[in-house]
Amino acid sequence: MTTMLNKIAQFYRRYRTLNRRIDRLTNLTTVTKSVLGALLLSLLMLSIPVLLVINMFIYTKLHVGLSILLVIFAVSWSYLYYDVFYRLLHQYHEPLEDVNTRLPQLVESTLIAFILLVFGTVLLLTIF
Amino acid sequence: MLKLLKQYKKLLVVLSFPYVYLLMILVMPTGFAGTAPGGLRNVNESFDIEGIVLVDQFHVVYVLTYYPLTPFLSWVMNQNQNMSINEMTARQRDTSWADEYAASQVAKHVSYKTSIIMAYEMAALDDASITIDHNYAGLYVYYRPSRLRELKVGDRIIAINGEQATDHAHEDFLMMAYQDESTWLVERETSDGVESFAFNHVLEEADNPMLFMPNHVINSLSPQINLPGLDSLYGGPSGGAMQTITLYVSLVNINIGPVKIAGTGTMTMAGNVGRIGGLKEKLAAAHDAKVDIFLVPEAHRNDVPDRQYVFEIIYIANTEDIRNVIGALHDNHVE
Repeated sequence: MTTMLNKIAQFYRRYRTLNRRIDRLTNLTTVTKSVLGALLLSLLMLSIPVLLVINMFIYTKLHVGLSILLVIFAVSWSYLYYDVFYRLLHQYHEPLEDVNTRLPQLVESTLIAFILLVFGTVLLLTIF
Repeated sequence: MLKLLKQYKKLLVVLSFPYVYLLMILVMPTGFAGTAPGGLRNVNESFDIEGIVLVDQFHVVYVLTYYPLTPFLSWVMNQNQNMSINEMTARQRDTSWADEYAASQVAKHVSYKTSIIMAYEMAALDDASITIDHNYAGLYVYYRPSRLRELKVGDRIIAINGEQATDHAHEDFLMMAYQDESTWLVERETSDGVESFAFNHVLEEADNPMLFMPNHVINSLSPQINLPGLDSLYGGPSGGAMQTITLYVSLVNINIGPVKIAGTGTMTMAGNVGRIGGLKEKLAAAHDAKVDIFLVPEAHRNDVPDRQYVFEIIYIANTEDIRNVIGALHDNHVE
């Protein structure tokens, strides 16, 4: 148990250190641009499959499956968003190539995905 | 971001055309409306009669109506013989989704009240302890041209040109509402209570005809009834007949055995089972739900598609037919 807690604490310290390094190398303007760009691109990428699923709601028998699919899209959107966000950030700041952005990217996207998953599950359980 | 876009320039150029094309067929509105099979809802979920366990054999069938359809949906629905698409009506073009929902809730409310009145009156013939007192109180606004923003779907018209609805029969009061020019006294439910105001209605040539629903007020009844179904999102008038049957069978406590019955048809205060929309889709939904018996309004006898059904179709025209059907089911079960 102690080893497990130690590992988590170590992981968290590593994550914070990497985050601080990223913060030092970036500025508010580029982060804002990356956020907006990532939002735009990720939504553009997901809009076609999401609209297709929404259109298929005409089939009553598929309602449960399609709703689950929408939750999966929402969860995958967080991974897509952070992937695009860090790609854009790398474009703006070349020194970031030397920083391991993979770890913060995975941590942050997993955290958001988890929140969306909980929210989606509660919504599905309420509706069906 | 521009750097990234430049990096994938070729891919973006290749993908942009199919992307925009797909987006258009998934989003662009067409002038069509579509109806698709929905499912079954047990009528006993909508009512709660004090001291009486509602029977669970009866179901209403709901369908899904979409408008305006996207080109993709039009194509999908065209491929499916259980779905139908039509050009949008002038009323649909003029109605927002919010108003459409409000109208379906008004229709449901009216259909609940009509079903309760009819079922209690039928049951009172068999059991003198069952009573109901009601009176006509005017009209609900079911549809109004969108230019009449002062009026809302669900508003109640209680007087026209100073004449109270309670002094008239529904048909007479309705004719008064269709005059070219008249002044209505309107009541509206708000969060602060009921507010009333005068509304001067002047018919314009370009207007779609307004639609109203009768407002019958139930003053007292025994046994008491609650309406949990009013809180659900589903709505519409076509469950009237099935609701009446369920309430009647439950009130009189008729045992019809373990049979799964679905059906459709509006109920009028004259005791007639009226026409409905989306019959083909409702039959398909009942077919999928594997019901034993499906009740169809007599007026639709010639509209039932000629195909093999897993259920028996029984046509009903009025409360007399309802009594006969229930009697036959009871006799079959007892035998």
